[in-house]
Amino acid sequence: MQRAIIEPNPTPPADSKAASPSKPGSLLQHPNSVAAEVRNLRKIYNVGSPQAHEALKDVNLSIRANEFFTLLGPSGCGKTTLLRILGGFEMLTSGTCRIFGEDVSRLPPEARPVNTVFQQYALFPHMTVRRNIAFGLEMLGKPKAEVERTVERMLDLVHMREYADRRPDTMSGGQRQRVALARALAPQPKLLLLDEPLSALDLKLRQKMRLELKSLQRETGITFIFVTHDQEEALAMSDRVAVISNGHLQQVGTPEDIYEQPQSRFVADFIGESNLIEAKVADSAGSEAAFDIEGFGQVQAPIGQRVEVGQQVWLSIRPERLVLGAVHREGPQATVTDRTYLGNAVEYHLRAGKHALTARSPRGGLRGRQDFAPGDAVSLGFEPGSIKVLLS
Amino acid sequence: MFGRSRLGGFFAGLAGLFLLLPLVAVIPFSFTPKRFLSMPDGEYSLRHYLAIFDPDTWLASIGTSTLVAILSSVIATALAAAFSIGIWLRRPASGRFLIGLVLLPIIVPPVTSAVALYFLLAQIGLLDTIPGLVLSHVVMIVPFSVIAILGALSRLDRNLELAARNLGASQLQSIFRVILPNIRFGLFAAWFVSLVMSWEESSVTLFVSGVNVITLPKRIWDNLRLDLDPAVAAISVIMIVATTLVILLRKSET
Ligand SMILES: Nc1ncnc2c1ncn2[C@@H]1O[C@H](COP(=O)(O)OP(=O)(O)O)[C@@H](O)[C@H]1O
Ligand SMILES: [Mg+2]
Repeated sequence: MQRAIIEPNPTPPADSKAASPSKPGSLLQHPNSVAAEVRNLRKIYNVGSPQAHEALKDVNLSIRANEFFTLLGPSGCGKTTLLRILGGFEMLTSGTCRIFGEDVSRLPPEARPVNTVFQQYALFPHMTVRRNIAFGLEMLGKPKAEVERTVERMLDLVHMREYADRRPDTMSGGQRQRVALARALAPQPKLLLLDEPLSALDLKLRQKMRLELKSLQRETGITFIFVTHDQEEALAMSDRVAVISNGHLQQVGTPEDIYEQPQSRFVADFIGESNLIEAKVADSAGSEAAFDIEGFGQVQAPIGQRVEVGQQVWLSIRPERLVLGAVHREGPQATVTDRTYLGNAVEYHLRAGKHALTARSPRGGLRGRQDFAPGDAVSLGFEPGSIKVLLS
Repeated sequence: MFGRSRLGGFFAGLAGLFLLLPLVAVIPFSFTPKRFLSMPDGEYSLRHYLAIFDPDTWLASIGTSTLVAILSSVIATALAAAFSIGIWLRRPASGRFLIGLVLLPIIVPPVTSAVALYFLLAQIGLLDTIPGLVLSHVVMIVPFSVIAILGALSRLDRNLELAARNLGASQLQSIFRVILPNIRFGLFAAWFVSLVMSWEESSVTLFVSGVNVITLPKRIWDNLRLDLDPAVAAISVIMIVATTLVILLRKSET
């Protein structure tokens, strides 16, 4: 097993400190190849004991090389477990786990071409920043000169040169985070695992680090597997996102896919906000179907898969795609129960029969002209294609 | 409860006095000019301090005790570190049982250990030898080292070890480059406790040595029983002074 060693650039001229340490092109060594792949992965903690707990249930996942891939899900859903299995800190119960084509199920962590940024950073407290970053390189037996060169490059990469001789316990969360990143990147892993690396930072810093992480990933071309429970973070940074709930892989796709085409109630609800309405199929013809909603009326929506007349489904509509109008025609109606001013938008809470709905209208512009007050009766309109039909 | 109150200070002082009085009381005895243990009556002498330097008796025992204490404390600390780190890393199901086993010498009465060690050393022919004594001391003091080192490990972030392995360190490298440096204070504490415990160990020592190998506590014991030699008082004073110096030095360091 060989680690991916990315040739360091020829020593950059002294004045080009801003230059990125490595050129993206030269690093894309496995275009279109698979960086990590898990098949039928199951993980049961404390197998055989009364406290046995199935943390991952038959997960299948394929992560492409050079991808910024995010594992997204609520706390306790198994994200860290999956990451620890990839890193070799936890044994899988059944299934296979391959990294760049090689079955790593039995490899100890140190033999995997994988580095990790830990949730609480886990910097070595007895070493300076410089020694922390050098650690991985020394373990690989790199010559001293190369270790020094790479460490300097990493210090620049994460803007920590001034702190090179400080110890981690004298630094802020953001600084430690950068050091952890530099330490993990220094040995040029093929795969970088990041376990909620931004969750300990305050909001401002978190937003800044999002951009930095993303551009760092592009610059180095290293495959990132990033874990978060923050859907906004996942949408903003990732090439693709895997949504996990309770040990089950719910959906994998680009941020747009995940947001626009949720395939289950869980995804529709967890990513952004959704109105979820129970409905029955009234009629189905080709790619379009009509749905009966109790106490509400009938709506039309495109369908991606076959449905049977009478089948129970869920309809999901984003609040911003629900259009309110004055009552002047036939069709679904609702009563405004609450109005919240949000600055750039107004949020209306509505009641239609037994259903509680939320609608959000932007301020200004054509749609924003009309305003409603609690108690008003309104007609409900749906933007074309805004209703998603969910079977589960 | 007493916090920083005056009353609290008063009681603390009283307790301190109660504990210190017997120690202080021994001081005058060490300056007696007589050859048996007695209060000096107006006349003072340093002859018993000189006796300590007799290479055949007191000095020899000081040497033996020092050697045994250094050897057994180093061995005990190394063994305790290996044991504790192994338990910490592997977290075996039998971990609690193994720890209990190692801590047994604290729980069972010293005589029991002493008899057991006596028969063991008799079997392997190490009775009344330095190696035999070191072995016995190690068994007796290893539990204290294990407690100190397990305590230090319990405060260590497990992710540090994972991070080291993740960065390509082997198990051994992660132990020597990450775990040990981060529990160095615990290791030092373990070694220091072992050193002191071995230095003053007497119960097992009385059983397994005493003719060829005579440690300082054994010689003091013999003298108190047979001789009432005031050199015992002199030795005590020196030990009190040394201990006080160590405590004062450590205070001024922090
Ligand atoms: N070492 C362990 N032993 C037993 N159960 C565990 C262990 N680690 C995690 N779990 C359980 O597995 C589930 C998934 O945990 P984890 O992967 O840490 O979730 P996440 O990182 O998504 O918050 C949780 O229910 C957790 O309690
Ligand atoms: Mg986690």
